[in-house]
Amino acid sequence: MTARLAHTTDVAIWAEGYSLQELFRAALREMNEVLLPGSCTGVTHYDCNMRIRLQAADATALLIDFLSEALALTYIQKAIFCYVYFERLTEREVAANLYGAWFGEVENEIKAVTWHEARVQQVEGKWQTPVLFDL
Amino acid sequence: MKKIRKTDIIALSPYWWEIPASFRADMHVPAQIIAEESLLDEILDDRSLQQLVNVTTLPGILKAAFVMPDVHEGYGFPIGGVAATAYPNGAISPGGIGYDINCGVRLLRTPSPVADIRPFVPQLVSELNRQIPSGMGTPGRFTLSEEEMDEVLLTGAEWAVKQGYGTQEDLEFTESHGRLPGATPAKVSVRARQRGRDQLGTLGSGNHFVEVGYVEEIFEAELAAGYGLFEGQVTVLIHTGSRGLGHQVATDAIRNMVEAMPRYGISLPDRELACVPFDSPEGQEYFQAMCAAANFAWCNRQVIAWEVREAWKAVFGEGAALPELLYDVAHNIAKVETHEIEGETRKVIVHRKGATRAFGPGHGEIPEAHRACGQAVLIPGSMGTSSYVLAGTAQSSGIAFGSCCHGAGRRLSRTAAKKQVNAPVLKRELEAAGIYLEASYRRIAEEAPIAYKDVDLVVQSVTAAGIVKPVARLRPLAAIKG
Repeated sequence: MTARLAHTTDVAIWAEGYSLQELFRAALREMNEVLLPGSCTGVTHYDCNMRIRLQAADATALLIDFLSEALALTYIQKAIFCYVYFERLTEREVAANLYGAWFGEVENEIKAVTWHEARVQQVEGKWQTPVLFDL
Repeated sequence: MKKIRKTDIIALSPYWWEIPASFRADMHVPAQIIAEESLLDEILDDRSLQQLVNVTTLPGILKAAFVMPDVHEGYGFPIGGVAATAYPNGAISPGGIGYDINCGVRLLRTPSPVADIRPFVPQLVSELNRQIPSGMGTPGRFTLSEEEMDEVLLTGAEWAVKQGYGTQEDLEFTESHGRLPGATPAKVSVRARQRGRDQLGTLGSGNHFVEVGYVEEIFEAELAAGYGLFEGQVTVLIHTGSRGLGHQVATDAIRNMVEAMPRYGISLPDRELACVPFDSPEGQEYFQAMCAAANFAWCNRQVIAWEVREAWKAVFGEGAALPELLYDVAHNIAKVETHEIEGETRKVIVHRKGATRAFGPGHGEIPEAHRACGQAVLIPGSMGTSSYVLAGTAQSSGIAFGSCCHGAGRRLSRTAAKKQVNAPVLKRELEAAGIYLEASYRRIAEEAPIAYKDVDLVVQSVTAAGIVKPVARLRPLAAIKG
């Protein structure tokens, strides 16, 4: 599940899921929605496939790194990564394949995924965190 | 986070306020606000000042952390913030510079009076739009090889001039001559290079723009003459930065610093403030990459200035007098500078995030032709409102490390602006007032004047605080938005 939070300049989201995989997928989905609303709706064919392998000190760092890497690949490959297959995902390591559909132009340029107030934690069985995108 | 109330703030003057270092136990220095009182009341509405108080906890911070009257909530540092740390071992924090390294403003002046240009404005807008790639996904005119990228990162705007996209005079009137000497291209990651490879000469999106305007009013005739400005003169403002390359340099650095901070015993209230000692290997790695990204940004604005000149030729003919550079100044950058602190002259690392350098008359870094006036400070307004040319004063260094505001300052989120603004109506109103826009309705709503503070009040604040003198007010004729 995701939601938008209020912020003067940028876009802040709330992401949550019953597993780390759900959380990471939800945050990626919402980032894509900011970049190009509706871009993944009805996508059944993928134009490119990129592999990500990252390690970090904790789940928050891992999520920010994962989204940052997906964002960089979005701009370099000019593709929105609508689907992610996790080979491995722990609080400190991710190995995943991202599947993307090419786009012409994004609607909102996200400059970066920030660390501001991000804190992945498990509350009542749900993994959750806010994430702020710098626009 | 402890909420800041007006009763926590002491008035130092009608335009200068302080949150004392006693406000929170982890503050090393006070937090100071340059703003007229009604703006201060607005500033208290968001979390800018909590973020400013967090900045005061940076290791090695000196004197005070400052915000300008255009401040608004950001991430880590507030936008409109200034902080200086002790050289060489005080903190360097990428969050104190921002992701858009060397985002800045370039002002071109033409010899033409507005009456000569006005009939051609729609044609000019269309030609500027054709010449200058904007938005996300539109590539620029170059796809740089590795060798060319290294040259751009090392030499900045010089690269563009060498390739014929500008003149030596352009370099003279660019801050730091468009080239920071500390740049090391090898410190810029493969990812950053990939993101920037086809972005030179592109505007990007968000609040970036090219605006054609004219000098509506001169405030100080002598200073205006020193900058080559006259009433009615047509001008062109360019606002953009280092594009995806700079964004990635900052992303890479913050990740490295978050990992490195425990090794230096640094713990901060927000990881977005991640920092390390300037003279540490991680600090130097970032600073050298940041200088390279800053050079990329100056090269970018130089190429865009060339594109503006090409548009001018296309509309007014090959023999037309072309726009000349008045000045180009960064507002997201860190620099090693010398300032006087408590009677002692010290080298410091000045972080400016959404703040413009504003050196006073006689400073060696000001172009010789402007040196007697003080540095030109360029303040773009919001879309459809005035912009300003100001001049740094002799006392600016002693106030906020020779720094000034950088714009009007956002007051509404993009979502809130879209809810409040009828973009087609606004576009028609602006056109009726003689201002042509080349932008999507969504962008017009997001960047509407209502989304920004009153730039006149912002400029009044920095003028009354003694940081700058007003030189001229520019009125827009047309704008293309990213």
